[in-house]
Amino acid sequence: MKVGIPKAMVDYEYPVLFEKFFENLGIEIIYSDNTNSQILEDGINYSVDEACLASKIYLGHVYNLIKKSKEEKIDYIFIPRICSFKGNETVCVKFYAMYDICKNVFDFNFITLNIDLKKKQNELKSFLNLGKKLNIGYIKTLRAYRKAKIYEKQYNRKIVDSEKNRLKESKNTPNILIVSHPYVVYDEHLGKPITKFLENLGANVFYSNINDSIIDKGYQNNYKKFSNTLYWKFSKNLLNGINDYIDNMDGIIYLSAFPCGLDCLVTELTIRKLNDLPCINILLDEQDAQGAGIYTRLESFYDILEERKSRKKVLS
Amino acid sequence: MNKYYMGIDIGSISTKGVIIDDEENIVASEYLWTEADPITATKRVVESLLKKCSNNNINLELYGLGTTGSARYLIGKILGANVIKNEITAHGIGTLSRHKDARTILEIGGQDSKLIIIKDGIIIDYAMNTLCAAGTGAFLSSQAKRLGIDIKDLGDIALKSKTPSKIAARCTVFAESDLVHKAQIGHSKEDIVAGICNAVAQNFLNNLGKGKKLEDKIIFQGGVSKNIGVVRAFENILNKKVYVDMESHLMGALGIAIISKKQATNSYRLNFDFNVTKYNFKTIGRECNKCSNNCELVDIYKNGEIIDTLGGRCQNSKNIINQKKIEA
Repeated sequence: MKVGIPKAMVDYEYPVLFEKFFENLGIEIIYSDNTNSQILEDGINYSVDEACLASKIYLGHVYNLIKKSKEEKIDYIFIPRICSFKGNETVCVKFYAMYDICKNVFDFNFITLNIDLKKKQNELKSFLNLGKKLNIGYIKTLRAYRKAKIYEKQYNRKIVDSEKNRLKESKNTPNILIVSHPYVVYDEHLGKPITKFLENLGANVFYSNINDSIIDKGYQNNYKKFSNTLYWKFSKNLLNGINDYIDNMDGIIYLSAFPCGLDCLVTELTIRKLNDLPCINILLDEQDAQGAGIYTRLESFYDILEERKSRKKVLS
Repeated sequence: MNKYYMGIDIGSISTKGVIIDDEENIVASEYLWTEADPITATKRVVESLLKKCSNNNINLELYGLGTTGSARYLIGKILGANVIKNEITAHGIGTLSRHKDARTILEIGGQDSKLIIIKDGIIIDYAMNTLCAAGTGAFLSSQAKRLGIDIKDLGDIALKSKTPSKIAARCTVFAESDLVHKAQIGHSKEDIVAGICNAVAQNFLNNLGKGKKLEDKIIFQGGVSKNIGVVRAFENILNKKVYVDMESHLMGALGIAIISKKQATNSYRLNFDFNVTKYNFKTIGRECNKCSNNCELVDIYKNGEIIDTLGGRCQNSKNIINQKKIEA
């Protein structure tokens, strides 16, 4: 059996769990290509125009897989449906809707997994249901899920540790924290050119989505320094990250895809509470990044950080 | 032997160039319209700079050359600049060299506007308008054309008004319909022009100034700073004196010349080709087609020979140059 996974949005939020689960069951995974102009263009064509850039790209990836299935014979395209977690914790509605949107837009076999605690569907149950749909036995599914979960834990610990080491060894050049959803900042078309540009200038780039709270539940309430009432799981994670890194950073770049409802609230809130650290807010839209003066902003922002850092050294 | 440095600021509307000496004094300067042809405009600027230098019997030994402005990469490659830098840093450094006590720089150019905040002699914060060009020089010149007024007279006409019209300049399209409406219900031309100037200042402060403290001394520069109506509008809204340098339009070029001086190696003269204005430069746009990104590339040719390719996202576009060099 072959399952296609679109390499966008939700896949970046769960980078290994789904992949390992399928692998443990002996199911082959076909990924969509890295985001490129063609995928973006297809995504725009299949979306309503008011959807956010990241979700448009998701549809482009689904279409990319459907095109691939002509040669590779993909049985299902896997689109998880993520809704609610413990307490009032929830995610952006795009994650609720993506499975249904794709089912309506494309004519293909889609398979889903429904994490919705309000409807009594926790992660374990949802994986067992997924196994049932794939005609795989209960014990085998359970074992595959447990193994994937253990792997996920190890993976998270590894990336957090390696980031911490990188921070310790970081050179004299400015440290920049990027506060952005992983599906924006790690995307080959959206965030990668920006982080590459910053690194070429000499900056040490860190990502707020990789932080202690993803390996240790004890850190999960750090976001409360910014807001008590926030209920978006992924935004909470980013704020936890800001709290982790902030003492060692010279500047913050808020990077979001237009129009992101979560970011427009959370970014504004954070900027107001962190008013002594230089920051810029960069909105990515369908226009080519090079044409929109983004690099001018990034370069001058970096100049400011560099100047401040060298000034600080002189004073101390 | 004196050392000289050249700075070229190629904006969307105008192209500026200066030559400074070792003490950062401007020995020659030029300012003219880009007219959507940055290469020709640069050639004319460089030609005039060289002419002015030879008229003053200056033996020009260039040790540094910098480019800034929206066409900085293209022109930087053509002239062989030793530094290519963004216009925000360039403007900040240029202004600081003339006004050491500056704290706030308001800059309104042809297609963008910037607010630069300075503390203890370094830039600490900035804001730049986003994609929309409302409230910039382009807006003013299109409205001046609409009203049948020469853009140079706009400021003086605005000063005559006692009751400026209220015009919303948040969006150029809306502003234009507002303008037509105000004219049709009988507002005088002076009032409307003054309204436009107020709207530009208000729009700038609303968009870029939000949450930022504008401290004395405030310097206003860029092409629009030549418009006395906008200067007065800023002063009225901020209730502070707004300074405009005599050479406010050259600050970007001056800044980049100073940066090129800082980065120049003192013993090494820049390999600047004084015949550059006589060469035939050509740019040809094409699509890369090497992967599904289809980057829009621009090949730069010098006398029919390709010298560089700009605009590619990856190394694929660079390979072509190497191949072509081998073939040739």
